[in-house]
Amino acid sequence: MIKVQNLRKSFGNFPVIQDVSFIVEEGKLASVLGPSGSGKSTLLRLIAGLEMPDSGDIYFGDRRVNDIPVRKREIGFVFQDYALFGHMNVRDNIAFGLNVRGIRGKKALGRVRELLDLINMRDYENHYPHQLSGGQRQRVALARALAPSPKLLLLDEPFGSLDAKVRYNLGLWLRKFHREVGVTSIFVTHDQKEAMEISDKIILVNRGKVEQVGTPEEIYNKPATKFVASFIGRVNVLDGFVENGILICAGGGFSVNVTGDEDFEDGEAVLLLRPEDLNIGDEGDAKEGSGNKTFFKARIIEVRYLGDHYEVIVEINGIEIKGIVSKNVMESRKLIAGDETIVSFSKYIWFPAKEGLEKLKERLRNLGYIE
Amino acid sequence: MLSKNKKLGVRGVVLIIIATGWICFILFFPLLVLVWEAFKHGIHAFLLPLLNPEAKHAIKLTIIITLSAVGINTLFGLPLAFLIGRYRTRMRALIDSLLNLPLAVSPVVAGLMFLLLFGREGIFRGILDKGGIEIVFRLPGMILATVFVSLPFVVREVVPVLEEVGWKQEESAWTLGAGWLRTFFRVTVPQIRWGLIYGMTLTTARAMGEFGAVMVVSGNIIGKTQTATLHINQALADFDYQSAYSCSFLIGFVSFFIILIVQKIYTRKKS
Repeated sequence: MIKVQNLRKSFGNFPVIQDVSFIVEEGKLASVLGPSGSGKSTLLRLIAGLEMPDSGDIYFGDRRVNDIPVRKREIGFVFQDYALFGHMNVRDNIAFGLNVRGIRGKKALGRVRELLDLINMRDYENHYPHQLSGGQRQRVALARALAPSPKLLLLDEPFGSLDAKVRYNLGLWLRKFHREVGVTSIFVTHDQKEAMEISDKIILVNRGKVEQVGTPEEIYNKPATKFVASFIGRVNVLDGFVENGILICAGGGFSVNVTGDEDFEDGEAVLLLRPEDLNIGDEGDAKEGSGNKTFFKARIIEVRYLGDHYEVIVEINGIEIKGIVSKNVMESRKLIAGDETIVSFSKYIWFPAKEGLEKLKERLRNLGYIE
Repeated sequence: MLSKNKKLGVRGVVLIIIATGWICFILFFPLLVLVWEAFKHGIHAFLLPLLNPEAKHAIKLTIIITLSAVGINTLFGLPLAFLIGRYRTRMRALIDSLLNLPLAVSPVVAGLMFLLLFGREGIFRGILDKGGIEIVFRLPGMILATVFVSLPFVVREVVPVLEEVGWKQEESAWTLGAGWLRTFFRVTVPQIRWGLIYGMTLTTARAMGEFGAVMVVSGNIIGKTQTATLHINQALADFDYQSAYSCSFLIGFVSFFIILIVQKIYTRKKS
């Protein structure tokens, strides 16, 4: 089990980690997820011992490791790039950690081959790193890190420099690998899809602070802050104003009920609506009347086919919203650009725009979530 | 592998003729003439001047000075390269400029500098007299001057290699449990191997061919402080052309050989 308590780290005057605390349970695979510059790599390096915190504690189990040098922490570390020793072949790379501990010759070779089988690269024993593809290199890096049986595995954007398909496959492979090997692992990434796909637990960080810790499901469905909500998954961001428990969007285009569990005075707010929570063209429900759902008249502006689903853009009183429609639903409802239709929201999230609408939108724009 | 270069047309052929012709004229032809002149009177005549005491002494001096210069510049150059290549320092710009100094300054001026520092009227005269040490007009001064003019090469070749990879490999070694010493020899040294060798070879070539600085700081004393290059100069002054040609050929041949090796190493380094 890894416990991090009140970690702080600044580089010069710049605070990179500001009071970070979390726990990773034994045997779990946790992701530290966040945008560039959020401090996630620094966090990993602090845990590894490659950097020293300004204050705060790091525990491996109940052992405080702050004063233990990196080489004695019994960790495995996988870097993003230039991980392997270029002048050694695959076998010598993997054997390095074993040689350090005095394990040589036949014994070391046995363990090396065991790991080569695990990563499915038995035939590459004598290859040199420059002869391997990116994906192969990272697999060897992983084997090398695991050779001395570390208690903790740390991965710093290990798939960062690989292309999408390879990333995806390696991600799945890592997940399966972790199931088999079972070592506590912490994985740093900026790719939220990747984090969602392979982690048991996600630690979302932004600007050196922890925004939320939870399972992928918790993070997605119950985001604690508007940053979390907008960082994970695609989302429609709509400006609005809250008054008397009703959030009015963009100059009265439409409005929804909001019951605030926080004391929020009337004021500017942001409505976040996930594309998959937009229900388009379900007239059946409308006729029967279905409790709390509000229905809006909308016009379909665009229908785009994306292979495994459709992306549909509708317009409600001048406001454009993106929705997702599965192939089955599309078949039964036959949505066509230009038609009038009925739209409802099965779920939505809202937050008071404390930092100002413009600032939030600026941030989302920088992250590529809106134009 | 497809080259980015275009196929040769008529214009290309003309370009080749001009370029080759120029190289022949300015490089190849003079060297051929040198070889011919050196061996014009036969092998025996070629070898004879190289066997006289002054020549032998000159060649010996050149060897000693060159080896010393390479050794000293490597010994001091490596830590400096590390400082620049792997550590954040605001002195980087300053060090870079200083490193270029030996290349920008005329060797004669460099020699003069050392004369001023360690000579009769020099700043260090007091200390040197106390210790009974003589620097100028002797071997130490000649070595210093040669070190100066061949200073930057090792540093300049090793720094980019260190910069490119950064600490990642060393950090990997540490996470795997390796200590300082093992990491240095098994991880760091192999990284800089070719850059270091290339730098040392360039240093050798430069040190061997040094003339102006050594001439000024050594006083050019026949039989005592003349290197091979100075010896050639002396032979010319004495109208002893065979001697000059023989020694020139010797140095020229060794330099050429070194450059050949350098090319081979360079290609190795790049891969």
